[in-house]
Amino acid sequence: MALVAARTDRGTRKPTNEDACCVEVANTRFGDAVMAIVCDGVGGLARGEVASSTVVARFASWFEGELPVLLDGMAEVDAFPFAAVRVVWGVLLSSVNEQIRAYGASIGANLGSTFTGVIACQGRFLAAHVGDCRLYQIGPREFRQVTEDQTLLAQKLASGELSPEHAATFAQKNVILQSVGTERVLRPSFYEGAFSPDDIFVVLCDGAYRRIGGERVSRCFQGIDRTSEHAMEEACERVIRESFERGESDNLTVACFSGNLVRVEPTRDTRDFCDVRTMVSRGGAA
Amino acid sequence: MNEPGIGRVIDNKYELIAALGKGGMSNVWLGHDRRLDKLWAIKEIKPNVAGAQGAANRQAIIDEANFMKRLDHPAIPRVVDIIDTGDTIFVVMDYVNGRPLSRVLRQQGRPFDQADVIAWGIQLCDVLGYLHSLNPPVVYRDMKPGNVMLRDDGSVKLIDFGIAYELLPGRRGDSRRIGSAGYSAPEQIDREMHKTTPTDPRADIYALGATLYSLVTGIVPRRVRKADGSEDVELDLKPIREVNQGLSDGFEQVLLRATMRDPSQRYQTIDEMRYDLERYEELTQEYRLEQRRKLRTFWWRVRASGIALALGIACMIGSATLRNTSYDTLMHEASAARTEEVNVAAGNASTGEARTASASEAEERYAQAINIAPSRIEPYERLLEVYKADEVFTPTEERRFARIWQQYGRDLAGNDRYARLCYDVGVLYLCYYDYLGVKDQTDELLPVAATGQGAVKNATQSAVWFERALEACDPAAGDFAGLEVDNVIDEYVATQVYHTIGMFHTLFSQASREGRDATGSYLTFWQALEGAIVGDDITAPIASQSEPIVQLRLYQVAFESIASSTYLSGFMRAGVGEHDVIRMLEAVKAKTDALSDFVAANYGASGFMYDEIENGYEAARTNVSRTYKSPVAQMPVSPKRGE
Repeated sequence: MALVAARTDRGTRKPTNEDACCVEVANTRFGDAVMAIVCDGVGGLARGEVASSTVVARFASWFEGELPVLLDGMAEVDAFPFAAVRVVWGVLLSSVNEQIRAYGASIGANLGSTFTGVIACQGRFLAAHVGDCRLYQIGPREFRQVTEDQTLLAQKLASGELSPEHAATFAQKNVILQSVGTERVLRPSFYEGAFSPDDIFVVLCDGAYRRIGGERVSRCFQGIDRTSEHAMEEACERVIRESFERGESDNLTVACFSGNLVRVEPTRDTRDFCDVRTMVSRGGAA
Repeated sequence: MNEPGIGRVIDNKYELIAALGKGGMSNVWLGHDRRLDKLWAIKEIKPNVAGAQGAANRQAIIDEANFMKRLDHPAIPRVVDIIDTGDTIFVVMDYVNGRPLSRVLRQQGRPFDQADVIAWGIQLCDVLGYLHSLNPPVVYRDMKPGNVMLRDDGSVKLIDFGIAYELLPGRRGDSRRIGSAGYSAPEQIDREMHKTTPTDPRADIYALGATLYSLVTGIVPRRVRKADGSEDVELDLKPIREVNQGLSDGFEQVLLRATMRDPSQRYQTIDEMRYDLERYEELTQEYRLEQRRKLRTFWWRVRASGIALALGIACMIGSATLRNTSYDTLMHEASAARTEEVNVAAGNASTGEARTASASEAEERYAQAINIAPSRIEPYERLLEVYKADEVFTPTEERRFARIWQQYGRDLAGNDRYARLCYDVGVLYLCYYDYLGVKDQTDELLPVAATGQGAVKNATQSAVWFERALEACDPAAGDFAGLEVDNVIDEYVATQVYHTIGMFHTLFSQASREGRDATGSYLTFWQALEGAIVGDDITAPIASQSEPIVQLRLYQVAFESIASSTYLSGFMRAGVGEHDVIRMLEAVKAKTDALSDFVAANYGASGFMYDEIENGYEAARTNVSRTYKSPVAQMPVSPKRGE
């Protein structure tokens, strides 16, 4: 049974919460399928919020409406169609990029959103990534950062142009390389992999990891009771609390789900994908 | 593996990334255009047979795809590419984002809100109306919740045109029994009915009714097999309010009518169904009771008015002058366009070219003039002339007119020619309204007479207008709001009679729906027909004072009523004697004969009525004698005639 949780906080500095997130669970013929998405809006004030919630709404509607149709057509296939989902997500991101761009042009403003989303089923996952939110895969003792930050800082560190010692004082550390809604051609990164039932997937916006880093984020989740949704909610809250304690003032969002998903061997009788639960879905409104 | 599967690239362009559905003859794939980064639904069809048969199949498939390619409606997926690889044909079309209503229904586990269902119903009427208005008309044949996609913005799209069917002139119907059990019309599916009843656009009306029924009740209509297992029959769709009392009576009426087993009992065009869906509240029991009350009282109605009239005039003066310039310009332009159109029409008539379905420029200008000066009656009067000019008031014109009236009609109340206008609109419906939309399509498609009582139903639509005319008059004050009431022509009396005739079908069908005896209304109806056609000792027959086309329509109404066994036995039960019926029939025949010169000169508009009466006269007469000799006729009659 998929356990999920999410928390978001406006923080102390911004007048609105420009983050948006959703976690959705579906009961499919392959067992549980879970999707978690965090988007961090850019463009200021109401605009960032519009961009991030537009992206989240589009993906939520895809998961609830179009994925079931896709799975219906797969009646003779016994593996979740990750390859198709990857193509479809690419198209969804580029179409919502166009949509936000057109809206921005119509109001004479630049607005956009980062996107980090993961979908998991049958012990495998697919993640898509634009910008600087992060996806962590956290095991009982180890963790890994699945996504790579698409920031100017990360780029300069990777090329050796900037040494790690100077990272903390780098002036443009908030600059992201691309966002949904501002690109002529959007180039999302995709990641695929396997997971075990002991893993927990955590998606965070930059506000939620910037001060405390992956190490502390994973520690918030590693000790907890992995069969309790309540414990997962508390872990999300702890990430936010620790970030505050270390001086974070930005919007903060954490979304997570456990890897102990129900797996079933698909048969023709179970082809009807009926039960989609929207666990958490919120736009940027405070 | 022979079968092309996921990952295959078609035409070096479309990668098949997932299956959306598989069928016997065809598969539907989700395709990705890698250059445009766009998703398409790609239908893969295999002709499956070698040799000449295979070639014929291939041609049929390509013809169907090309037919789809011609369709252009926002609620129908576009076909953008057809690729023939030799053994397989791929048809590339819009991938519709959204969920089939059948799935949404299942997911949410409860029926949809009535308001949503009605809104979707109206949208679907639009799509079906578009298909039916093509030349040749297209019958969709597969309306069901599973083929309606609900999109994020609340709009719906129709998918899967696999069994849509073009009604070519002279083609009687598809010999295949095909459709979706539970939703498709009985003439499409039932073994017996399929043999005798061709599938036409009315099959879509049934299926839309069944679809809306399912959406609003949550019940999936199923077919049940007869006890002896001989033939499966339609499960009766019980009235929706037996499932949920909170649903609208009016909506229930719409669905009951749409899903009648006999096509001639249903709405005859999708536009009619749309009309009722848009006004379903007016079909409620309460509303109809009110209508009936008005019918009973109108003979002695005396309205104390004056106030409405005075207010109306005050408004007219208030709104005058300001907008006169553009109003005058529009009226002038309209009139010029009208002259132009008449000339063009005269030219077309000689070349036999068809009229277009779009609004004429004159019609549009008059509509704009109404928009600017809604209290002026002239644009309406000119508009009626435009509608009448080509001798047919089409359902499309009717819909546009109904919209204008709905928006602005009330601004005319109190106008001193208001009753006259309403009377003219009533006549327009009675005599010119092409109830079946025949003239919108091909002339051969559906002969009016084939559906029976076309004229009586036409009269139904006119009743509301005659009623408006009557309401605007104040006989006690000598105010007839533009109707002529001098010694020769008494249009006020004519209006009363036409109104009664028009109301009959409504009352009759209402009574039969509610299982009540309609004997009383038969008598009223008969008396009105007599007043109109035969006259009585004091007054001359009203019809003889009207224009020939109006006369002819009234003769047709009377003729069809007598020729119909149901109506005839109704008259008999109401105490109308054989002698009276024969007298009426003879009067109808004689008066129709007398119009032969008019008919010869205006055959397009009047020939079908004339022929119907002339050709059917002998049979109708024989039928009257036979009916009155039958044992039923010997039963005591009540109530007594004249009571």
